Amino acid sequence: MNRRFVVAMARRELRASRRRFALYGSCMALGIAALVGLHGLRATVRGAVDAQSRQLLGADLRLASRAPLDASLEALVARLTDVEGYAAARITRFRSMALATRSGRTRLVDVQAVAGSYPFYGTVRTEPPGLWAQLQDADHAALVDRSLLVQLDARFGDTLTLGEARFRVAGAITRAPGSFGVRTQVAPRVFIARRYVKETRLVRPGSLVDHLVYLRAAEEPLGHWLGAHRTTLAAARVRVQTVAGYQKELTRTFGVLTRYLGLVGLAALALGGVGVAAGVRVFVREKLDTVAVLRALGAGSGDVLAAYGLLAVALGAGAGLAGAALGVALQWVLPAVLGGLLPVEVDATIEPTAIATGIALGLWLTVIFAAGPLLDLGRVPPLRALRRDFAGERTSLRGRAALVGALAATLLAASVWQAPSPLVGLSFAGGLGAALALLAGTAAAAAVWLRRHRLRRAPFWLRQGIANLFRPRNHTVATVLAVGFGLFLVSTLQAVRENVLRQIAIDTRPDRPNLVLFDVQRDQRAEIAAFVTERGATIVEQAPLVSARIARIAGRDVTDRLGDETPDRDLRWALRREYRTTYSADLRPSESVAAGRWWTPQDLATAKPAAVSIETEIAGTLGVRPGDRIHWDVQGVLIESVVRSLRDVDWGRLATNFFVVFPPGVLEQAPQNVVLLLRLADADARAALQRDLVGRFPNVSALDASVILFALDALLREVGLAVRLLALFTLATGLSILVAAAATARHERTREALLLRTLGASSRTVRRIVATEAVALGAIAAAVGSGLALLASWALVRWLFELPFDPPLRDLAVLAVGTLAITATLGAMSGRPARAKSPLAALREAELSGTGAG
Amino acid sequence: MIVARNLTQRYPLADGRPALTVLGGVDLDVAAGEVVAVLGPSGSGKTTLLGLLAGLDQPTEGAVTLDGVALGALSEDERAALRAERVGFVFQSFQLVQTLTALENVLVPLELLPASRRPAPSEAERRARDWLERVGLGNRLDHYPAQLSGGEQQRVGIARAFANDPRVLFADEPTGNLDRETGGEVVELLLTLNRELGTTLVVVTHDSELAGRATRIVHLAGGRIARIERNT
Repeated sequence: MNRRFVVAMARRELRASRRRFALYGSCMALGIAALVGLHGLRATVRGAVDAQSRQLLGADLRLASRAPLDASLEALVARLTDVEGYAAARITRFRSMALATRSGRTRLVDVQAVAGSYPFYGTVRTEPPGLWAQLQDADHAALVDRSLLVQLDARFGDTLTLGEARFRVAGAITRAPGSFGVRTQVAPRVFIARRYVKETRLVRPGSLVDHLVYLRAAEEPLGHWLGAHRTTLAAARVRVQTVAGYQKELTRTFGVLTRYLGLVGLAALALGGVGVAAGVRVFVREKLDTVAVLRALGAGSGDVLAAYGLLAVALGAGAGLAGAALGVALQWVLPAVLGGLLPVEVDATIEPTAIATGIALGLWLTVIFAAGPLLDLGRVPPLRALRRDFAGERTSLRGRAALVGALAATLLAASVWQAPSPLVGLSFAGGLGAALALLAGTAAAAAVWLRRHRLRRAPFWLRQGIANLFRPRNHTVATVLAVGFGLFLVSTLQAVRENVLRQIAIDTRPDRPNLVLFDVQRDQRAEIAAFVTERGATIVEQAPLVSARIARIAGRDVTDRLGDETPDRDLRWALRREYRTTYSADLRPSESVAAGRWWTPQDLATAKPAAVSIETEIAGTLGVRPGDRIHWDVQGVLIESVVRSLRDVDWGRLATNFFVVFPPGVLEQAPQNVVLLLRLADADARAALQRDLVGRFPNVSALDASVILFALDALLREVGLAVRLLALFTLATGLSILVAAAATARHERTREALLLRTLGASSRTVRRIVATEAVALGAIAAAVGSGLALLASWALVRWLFELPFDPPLRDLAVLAVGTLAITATLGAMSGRPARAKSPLAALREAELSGTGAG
Repeated sequence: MIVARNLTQRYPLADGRPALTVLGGVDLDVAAGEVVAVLGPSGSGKTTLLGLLAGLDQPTEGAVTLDGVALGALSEDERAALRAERVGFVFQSFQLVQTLTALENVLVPLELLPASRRPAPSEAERRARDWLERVGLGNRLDHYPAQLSGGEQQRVGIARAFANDPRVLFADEPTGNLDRETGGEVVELLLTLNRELGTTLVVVTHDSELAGRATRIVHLAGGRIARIERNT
C-alpha cells in the first residue's frame, strides 16, 4: 500500500468535504454523548456509593425485624457490646396518618422513631441546621421531609398529629441516610424520638411495624459475629443489611435505570449510523469518477479503499471525540434531571473508561456503517475514466452479507452489553431492527406507490416535487428513517405514559374506590362503616386482613430452606415475607382461577386440611402447584393447608388484592384487622373525611387514590423526563441526519434547479418544488413514525403493562404535526442558496463544492 | 512499445441476444516515440481500443504487450502499478479531481509512483510546480478546477499526464471539449512536450488537424482497422 498517497488523499478529501463530514459526524456524536454521559454518571454514582457506603446506611450493619427482637436475639446483639467501637441505635418504623392541625390536611407518612446516636456515619442535614442533635431531648419535636410540608401545607412550628400524640414540626430534613428524592415524595418521612411511640398508640398487635437495630463495631469481629449467627438471624426472620449489601442494592437499582436509558442512547447511535451510511452512500456516488481517474492514473484498489477508509476512521474519531466532549458536558446536566432517582449526591467527574468506550463504539459503528458504501469504491473500474456509463461491479453478495452480519452482531453485542439483562438486550436489538426495517420498508413502499399513482393533472411544481420522492437518488428512505425513528420513540413514550396514568385515573371514575382505609380493628368495623357512610362515602369492598408467614413448604421447614445458600433472591423474599392474607367464599372481580378450582360450599364443610388459593406468580417463585401442602404460622398458630387453586390477579386495579386467600372457616379466630375500600367523589369531602377519621380513629390509616396517582406521576415524570431527554437526543440525531440529507439533496438538485431556471422556471416555481418535496417527506415521516408508535405503544401497554390501550390521538397528532413542520422547514431551507443566486453563480459554486464530475 | 494482437472486445447483451462486438481482431504495433492518431466515427471502437491498449480493461480475446509487459498476465492492481510507472493519460473531459487544487492534481501521479521511483514530498512538489509552470499555469497553482477555464483545466491535465515521466501517453479526444483556438494551443503543447521528452503518444481524436500531425493515422470503422495512413 502506498501510505503517502493514502494519507494525502484522505487529508485532501477531508479538507474538501469537512462540512459534510461534520454533519455526518454529528449524527453519531449525539448517540455517543448519551452513552458517555450515562456511563460516566453511573461510574460516578458507583464511586460515590463506594466512598459513602457507611454514610448511606448510617451504620456498619442493620438488623430489621417485623417483631420486636426477643430475649434470645437481644442476647445475641449484646455479645457485641465488648467489641471495639460498639454502638447501637434503634428505629421503630411504621406508617401512620399525619394530620397538620392548622391546615387540616392529612397524609400517610413513614414514621421513623429514633433512639440512640443514629447515624454513626454521615450526618443528617436539617433546616434550620443542627436540629437533628436536639431531636432526642426536645419536647415532642418532629423533623419531616420537605415534601411533606408542601403536601400538608404546613410550616415550622405547626402541630402534627400522629395517632394520639401531638408533635411540633421543628424543622425539615434535607438529607438523611437512605433518602431519595422520589422515595420521599411517595412516602414522606417523619422523624420523632422513639420514646414517644407508646404515646401515639399506633403500634399494636397486627400493625405493620419494622424494628430496626443499627450497629457500629469494628469490621472484623462484626464479620465473625455475623458469620456465626446468620442462620439464627435468618431463622428468626431478621433481615440483615450489610454495608456491602446496601452498596450493591443502591448501585444495582440505579445501574438498571441507566442501562435502560442507555438503550435509548444506543438507539440514537444506531440511527446515527443509518444517517452516516446514507450520507456516505451519496458521497461515494459523487466520488466514482474521481476514483476511476485515480485508478486510471495507477492507484491500486487497496490504495483507494485505504484512502477512503481512512476518511471513515477520521469521521468516526471526530464524531467520537465530539460525542465524548458533549457526553462529559451531559454528565453535569443528568444529575439535575435524574436528581430524585440518584441514591447519592454526586459531583460530575471525568470517567476515562466511559469516554474511551463511547469513542471506540462510535468509531467502530461509523466505520462499519460507512464500510458498505465505501467498499463499492474498491470496485470502480478505471475504464470509467473514459466511459462514464461504464458501471463497475458492486460488492459481492457475500461481502455485503458479511458486512450486514458484522453490523447486526455489533448492534446485538452492544445491546446485550448495554441492557440490564441479555434478554432485554436481545429484545431491544430485535425491536430496533424491526422498527428500522418497518420504517425503511414503509418509506420504500410509499415511494413505489407514488410512482405508480402519478399526479398527471396537478400543476408542474407539484408533480416535480412529488416526483422527487421516487426519482433516482431520492432521500425518501433516509429521511423517513431519520425523522420517523425519533418521532416513533418520543410518541411511543408519550402514548405509554398516557395510558398508564389514564388507567389510574379511570379508577377514580364513579364505580371505582378512591380511598383505602387500613388497620381498621375488627371491633371498629361497624362504627367506621357508619362513620364513613354518614359522610357520604360508599363502601365498595372490604376484606379482613390476617398476617401469616410460611412455616413449612414442600416438606421442609422454612428456617431450613433459608439456612441454605442456594435459594435465589426472589425465593428468599417469598419464603421470609409476612403475607397479608384474607378469607373469602368468592373470587373478586380482579381475580381469575388459572389452575385448580375455586372452593364450593361443599368443599368448605369437609376440607381438611384447609384449602388455600395462591397468586400465580408467587406460586411460581415458591414452586407450588395445586395439591401441594403449605404450613402457615398465623401469629403463633400453625395451620396446615393444601393448595386448591392458583389465581391470576389484576394488580393494576385499586382493589383488595392478595397473594394468599383462605376459605371462610379457617382464620376467623386469628388476630386481624380490616381494609375498607371507599368511594367518595368529592376531593374536599375526602380530605375532610380523612381529617375527621384521624381525629376519631387515630390507628386507622387512609390512602387517597390521588396520592397514589401523585406518587406514580412523580415517579413517571422523573423517569419519563430522563427518557424523554434521551429520546430527544434520538430526535436531534434524526434532525442532524435530515439536515445532512437536505444538504446532500441540495448538492444533487442544484444543477436540476438551475436547468429549470435556465429553461424559464421562475424562482417561485423552483421554491414550490423544493417545498412540496420537503412537506411530502415530512408528512410521510410523520405518518410512518406515528403509525409505528401507535403499534408499539399498543403492544407495550397491552402485553407488558397488561392494560387496555386507548391511543392518545391528540398528543400523537401534535407531535406528528410538530415533526412535519420542523422537517418541512429544514427541507425547504436547504433549497434556499440555489434559489437565491443567479444560475451561473450557483453553477460555479456547485462545481467548486464537488458536485460536478470528479 | 505497444504490440496488440487480435484485440477483440464483446459485451454480452441481456435477453440472450448475441454479444455486441465493439472491437474485432485488431492488430497494431506502435514504436517508441511514435505519435499514432486513431480516427473513426462514433461507435467505431476508438475509446475501447485506447482502454485496452492502456490496460484499463481486459480484451475478450487477443493480447496487448505494453513496454515489453504482457498485460493479459497481470491482475488489475498489477496493471494499475504499471500505469502508475509508465503511462500517462489526457482525457476529453479533463477528469481533474474537483476537490484537489491544480498543484495537487499534478502531484497525484508522482505520489502513485512505486516507492523506488517516488520523489520525496518536497521534490515531488517542486516537480509538480515546474510542470504547471511549463504549461503556463505557474500562477494558478492553488486554484481548484472549477476556478479554471476549460483550456486551463486541460493544461493541468497535460501537466499531470507528463508528471510521472511516462513511456506512453494516451489521449482521448484531448481537444473535444475545447474551442478551436484553445484546442490548437493544447495540441501544440502536447506535441511539443512529446517531442522534447520522446514519449510515445496514442491519441484518439476527431480533430483532423491533430491527426495530421501524427506519424501514423489508424482509421477504425465498425470495430476494425479500415486503413492505416502514414504521414510524411
